[in-house]
Formats: sequence, C-alpha cells, structure tokens
Amino acid sequence: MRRAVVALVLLALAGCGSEGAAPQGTMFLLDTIRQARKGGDEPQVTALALTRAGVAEVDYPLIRIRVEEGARISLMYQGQANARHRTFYDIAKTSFTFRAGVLTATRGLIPDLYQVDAPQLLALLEGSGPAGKAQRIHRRMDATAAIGDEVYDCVLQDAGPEDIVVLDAPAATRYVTEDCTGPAGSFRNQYWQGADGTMWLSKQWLGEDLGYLLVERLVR
Amino acid sequence: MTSTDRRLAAVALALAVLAAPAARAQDPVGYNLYGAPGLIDMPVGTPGADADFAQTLSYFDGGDKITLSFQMLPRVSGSFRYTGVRDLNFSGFQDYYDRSFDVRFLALKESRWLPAVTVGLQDFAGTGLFAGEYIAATKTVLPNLSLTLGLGWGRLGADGSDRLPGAPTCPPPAGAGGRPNADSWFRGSPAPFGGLSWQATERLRFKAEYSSDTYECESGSRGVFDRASPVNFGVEWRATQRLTLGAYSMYGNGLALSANVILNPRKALVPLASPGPRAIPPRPDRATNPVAWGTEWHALPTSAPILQESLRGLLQAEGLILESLTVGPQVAELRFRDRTFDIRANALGRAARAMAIGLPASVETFRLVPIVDGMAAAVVTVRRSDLERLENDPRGAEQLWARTEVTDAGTLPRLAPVPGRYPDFRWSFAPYFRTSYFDPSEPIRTEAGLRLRGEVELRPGLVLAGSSRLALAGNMDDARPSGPVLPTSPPSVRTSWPLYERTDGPKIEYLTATQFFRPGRNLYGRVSVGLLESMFAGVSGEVLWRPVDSRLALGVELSHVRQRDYDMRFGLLPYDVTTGHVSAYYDLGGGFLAQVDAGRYLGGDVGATFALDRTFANGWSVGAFFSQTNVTAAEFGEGSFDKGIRFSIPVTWLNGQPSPTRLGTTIRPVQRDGAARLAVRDRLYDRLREDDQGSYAISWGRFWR
Repeated sequence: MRRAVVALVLLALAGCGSEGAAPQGTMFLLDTIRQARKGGDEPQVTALALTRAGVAEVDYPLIRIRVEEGARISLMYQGQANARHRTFYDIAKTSFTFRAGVLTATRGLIPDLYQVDAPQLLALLEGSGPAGKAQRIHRRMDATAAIGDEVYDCVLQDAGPEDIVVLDAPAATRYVTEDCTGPAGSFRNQYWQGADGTMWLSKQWLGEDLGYLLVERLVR
Repeated sequence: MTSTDRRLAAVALALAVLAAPAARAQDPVGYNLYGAPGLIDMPVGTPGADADFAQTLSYFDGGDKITLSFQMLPRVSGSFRYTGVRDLNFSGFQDYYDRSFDVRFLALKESRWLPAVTVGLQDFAGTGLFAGEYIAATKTVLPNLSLTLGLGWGRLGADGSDRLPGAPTCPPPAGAGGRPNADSWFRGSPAPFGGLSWQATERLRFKAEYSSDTYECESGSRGVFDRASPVNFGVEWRATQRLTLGAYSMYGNGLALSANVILNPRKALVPLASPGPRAIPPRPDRATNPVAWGTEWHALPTSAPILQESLRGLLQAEGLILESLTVGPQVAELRFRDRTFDIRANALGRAARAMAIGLPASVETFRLVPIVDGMAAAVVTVRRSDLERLENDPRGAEQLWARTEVTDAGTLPRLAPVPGRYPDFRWSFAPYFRTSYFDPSEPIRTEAGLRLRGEVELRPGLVLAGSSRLALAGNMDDARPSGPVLPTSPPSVRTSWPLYERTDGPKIEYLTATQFFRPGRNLYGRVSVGLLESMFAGVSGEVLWRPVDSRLALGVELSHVRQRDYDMRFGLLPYDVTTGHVSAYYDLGGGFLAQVDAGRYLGGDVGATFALDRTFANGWSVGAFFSQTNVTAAEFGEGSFDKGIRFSIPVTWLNGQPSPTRLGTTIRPVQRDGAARLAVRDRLYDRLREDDQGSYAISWGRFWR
C-alpha cells in the first residue's frame, strides 16, 4: 500500500513538475507527510495545490527539493535534529541531511552522496569564517563499501544582499556562491541565506549522475 | 552453490547485460576472440582493469569459444575457456571440445616512453591444442591509437602446435591433459605478431593485426578452415556500458563474431536503492534534564518486556529479527538475526539505530550480537555517545570503527529467545533450472522443474531442512556415467552422477537435522545427520576455531557417509566411507583468502585441496582451486587431477535491493572421482565469514547507510 502511495505521489509530481526551471504549481501531499511524521500506518492521500496558503498551517520545518536529473521533486519534513545537523525525509524514506543549509549527506538516493566535508563553507555560513579559497570533499561509497574521496578546490564569494521569493513569500537573503573544480568536474553551488541563518534557497551539486539539487525552505 | 543458483546467475547476468545503460568512455584495448585482453586473435600487452570479470563468446570457423577471464591483481589475470571446433575429427570426436586455462603477468606498466609488456601462457595445462606462450608489448601512441608487437611460441610460434620432439603433425598428445606442460613453454621457434587498435568514437573501435597463428591443425588435411592470409581486421561496437560486440574478417577467408561483457565488483549493475535509515536521536542534555537520564525504570518489572517489544518492532521495520534483549541501567545487549542485508555492517548500523531510538537515555553501551544459525557470531560494542557524535561527521565511518570493539561471543550465557520466536519455519516452492557442462556429446545439458524447500529451526541452532525437486523437462537424463578408468581408480563417487538423473518422480536433494553450537571461546560446532547431499547420506561433524580478530581459522570435519540410491529417495547403496579434512583458512589481506583442506576424500583417496579466492566486502568472490591426492594421473583419468574455478555474485549487486543471497557456481573442467569432497551444506567458515573484524573493517562505511 505504501509503495502504491509513493508511486502515486511520484506520478502526480512528475506529471506536473517535470518541465520548467522552477517547480511552481507542483501538487503535493501534505496530509501524507503529516501522517508519516506521526507514524500513521496507511496515510490518506490528499493532493493539494502547493501555495503559501496551503502550507500556512504547517507547524514543522518543511522543504521542497528538486533533483535535476530525473526531475525528482519531493516535499521533505524534518525528522531529526542532531547538534547543528537537520535530517529531512520524504515519504519514501529518502533522507537529506543539512548543516546550515549545506547538504552533508543523502541516504536512499541513487547514487548517494555519502558525506560532504566543506569546513570553510560552513564557517562562512555560520558566521565564523571568511570567503575566499576553500576545499570541498565529496565522499562516495562504491558497491564493495569502499569509500572514496572526490576533492574539489573551491572559491567562496559573499555576493551581498539579494531579495528572493520562495513560494510567493519574499525573503531578504545574502547570496553566497561556491565555485569548485576537481577531477570529477566543475560546478557552482549557490546559497540564499536569511539574516537569522535560515537557508531559504540553495542549488547544490550532487554529482555527474544527478546534477544539481534545488532546495527551497517552505516552512522554517 | 546449487544448480538453480548457477542457472539464475546466468539469467541474471544476461538480463543485466541487456539492461545496462549507456556507454562509458575510453577503455583498454578490449578483449580478443580468446577472451583475453587482445586484438582479434592475438593478445596485447595491456591488462584489463583491476578486478574486471570478463565473459567472451566468440564464433569462428577456427573454433567457437566461451571464456571467463578475471583480473586477479593489477598485474595478474587468468582465464578459463571452453572451445568447440566443428569437424576437427580429433581424439575420436567429429566436433572437438576443449577446456583450457591461461595465465598472464604484466611485466612492465605502460609509461610515457615505454610500452606495457605482458608475458602470457595460453592453454598452459590443457591437452595442448591451443597451447602457446607470448610476450606482447603495447604502447598508446596517440590518445585513441595503440600499437602492439609481440613474439609467440607454440600455437603462436613458427612451429604451430608441432614443437614437441616426436609429436605427430597435429596436435601434440599431452596424455590425459590437465597438467602444466612446463617442459614445452617457450620452446620451438618464435614468430612475430602485431597490430593496432583505434578507438574512433566513444562506441566504435577498429582493429587490425598480423597473426602468427598458422592454424596448422585446422587448415591442413582436416579441412576445418583454410587460412589464406595472416591478416585480420574488424570493428567493435560498445553496445552498452558493459557489452561490446565485434565482427572481424579472419585470415582472408572467414568471418568471426564476438560478444564481450565486463563486470566489476566495484561497479554495481544497479546501485543500492534501499530506503535510508532513521537518524540517531540525540539524548536530552544531562545537565539541564537529569530526570531523563534516571535509572529508576530498571527496577520496574514492566520495563524489560516493554523495551523488548519496542525493539522487536524497531528491528522488524529494518528487516531484522530480535532474538533477545538484555538491558541494564548503562549497558544493553541485543542479539539479532539478519536475513535482509548484503553486508553485515549495514545490519549492525540499523540495529544500533534501533537501540538509540528505543532505549532509555542512561543506556550508554550497546553490545550488538549477530546470530548466525543460532550461534552468536561476534560481540560488537559501540558507545551511544559516539553514535550521536559521529553520525554526521565527514569521517564518521573511520572514526566510529576506531572506537568499535569486536570480541568473541563464545562465552556469552544462553538466553531465552523472545516469546514466539521459535519454532521458526520457512519454506519455498519455486521453479528451478539445472545445468551440466562439458559432456563431449552434449556440451550443455539442462533441466527444468519444480522445487519445494522447507526449513524449521526448532530452537536456536537446531535446524531441520529439506529440499525436493521434480524434473519436468530437460536432457540431463541422457548423460552416461563415465566411471573409473582403471581398476585401481577411486570408486564412482561422482562419475556415477548420470545414474541419479535417470529416475522419474520427485527426488530428495537433502533432508537433514543439524545442530549448530558454540563449544567454547573462539569455537564453533556443527553436527548434521540425514541425507546430506544428493549422492551421500550419513552423519557429519565439524568444529571450527575462529577468533574474530584473527586472520587464521582452523577447522576439523569428520563424516561417515553411505552412497545414496540412484532414485534419490531414502534407499542406500553398499558403498560407505569415512571422510574428513582438517582445514586452514587464512586472510592474506587485500581481499585474498587462502584455504587448504587436507584429508580423506569420498573415494577414499588422501590428499589436499588448495584454493585461493579474491573476495570483496559485498560478497563478490572469484577463485581457483586444485587438489593433489594419492590417485595417480592415470587413475584419475581425463584432466589428470581435480581443479576448477568458482565465483559468486551478490544479488544486491545485480538488482540494488538488499539481500544476503549470492549467486554463483563452481566450474570443473572435468568431474572425476579423485579428490571428490562431501558437499555437506552449511560449512561453518562460509556461514561465519561476514562476522569477523577483517570483514567489518573493510565494510564499516555501510554501518551508517
């Protein structure tokens, strides 16, 4: 039953959200997520249009993610906080862990990003370090459970204030870019961080197979 | 490994190849018709990628071949090949089938100025029909162009197969075959060969070569094939990431086709696609919330059953089975069974998360005990505060492993399993396919039917198991027993297998009662009684000494068995034998496992079997073995002595879904009666292989998955 629900969700999302750069107008299933958070056995599926009003009553942290390759779109709720890390889940039990809005690990994604190590970026976003040169390591696990490191040389830039709109709601942010180059390629990550540290919007590189991950913070 | 497994493996591999997606970029030169790194008929100096497991199927008038090759080390590779030559009219057969082994060594790695140089022995232990040695040098002269020059002997030399003094024209007699023909290696007059390989596009590769193989046997009076020119050329197309198809013009007078599939244990056919784990919930701050850390709960009689029930549910959600839970104020011991994951570290991680979710805050030390066949396989001790602190650490896998203790579980007290756990009954009813290879009159025999299997574990470690099959279609029953070749040969303990195929109706593959137990520290035991395998029944006992932190394990097995009747029901034949071995297993590091089994075999012969396997944390393994016993080559018959290769592939690697099931097979060029070992199920070392420090160490990244 749960698989069927997931399939329906994915079908609904794919049908409506697979075109265009921004996932506007996506259908989503808040009730399903609400049930999943409570550990309900068989969540009732209710499709709602994704609007600011639609999430007005949501009282838990909620993000919307989009994986570039495969056009996967999911709503994810925060399941666990551990020190400065926050783990978000979708109803298929795929999880994304963030620190200061920076993706630090995925579980259940194909393929997973096993761990991310980006100390200078975290220091910049957490207010304890400068922009400039940085190193980023993507750790990946192969089929024999061996962990390999992809090391990137990066440049961090604080591009100053930028006003954005996330699901019809304005947000005043500072815009930070992270340009990285390594043996597995080059990419630019982008972060729009609110004054209180909330990462309202970000675009982060997952790897060659999946491209970029777009993360919108819908509810703090 | 059962025949069904073998067949399933073949089907899975075939499907996998068909389903494999897009092409990958630049690759080595590719494989030749012999299934070795090469041009078309000639070898090259460059090796395959480390751990590449290549299967090549080639069609050519000069001989059809199917070859398995494995790059055992970056510098060492080997092949096993089955060749069929139509109308060769040799050795009493119109169509001649031949099995052969190769081994290759990369003497020099390619560098900026120097070529890669490989020394190879082709068909070094066969009948000699394809025996040839070579030194090949290959240099990449342009990014997409490589040149090869080589010197060949024997089949690849100027004398063809006719290099042995006194040998008849074609081919040389090598007795029953199967022994290394070291006295003929690099003998006779060498001949040069060479060619080029041009990677024109990502998918398209062109090859041309000058061949030193004169095809003396095939093109002479036997008229199999007429060699008009030494030049071959062709084109190869990379159809998918793993499959390459080739078509070639051969010797000015023929066509060859090839299909080559390269698998590598490190690159799963389908990446792992299971749901992620639940995150570790950190405990409340002790300073600000001391009540949450209280231990009063431990005095309440209701605590233990409530916690047990909670953990049972949490484990069940992860596909794990709770055996018992002992909880103290600071320490908890969880015994569980894993029938879900391909790698134990994954199950240990999920079980530890369940404990972190389900146990009171005061419990700091988690002792995880995986149970295998009722035996406690190890005690893995982790600290809860380490789990909380390291879960999101970029080096969390390495750091947690450094803080994890793995100890023996042999002295743990017996505990009552959770209520309702036993008896544990499992069964299956499914179609099966069986295969048999290398019969000269029918190279591949198959059988399809239905199989009913059942297993009940009455209490921890006491297992009743049975399997019955009913053949519905196939040609296995046409095979003829070859039998002993000399009066002094061992009795027909294995060569009589065709007699077991002749009877119709259901057959019992095995029906056993087995007790597994832990006799003491570092010791494991097994006693099995019943219809132990398809051809023998009796009683078999085994004790294994295996410290969890040791590379070395030692085992003793003793069995008294009687040959089963050919109808594979409950009847027995007069032949009985006491058989047994002492075994040594040594983890050489780098995934290499050496094994020696010395003792008395089913035929009463005495000797030893030597095996070397390259294993990977996910269950992939590829290996080879040979045996030497007091049976002479003449008494042994074709093949001279027992030898073979074996491999296993985890289902998870094939379909991305966690599963402990592995598919694989053992391939013997010839199954004779010498060095035949009892095929009893559940030998202890294999059952416990996943649960030692070495296995955890190389796969600990999966703890956090």
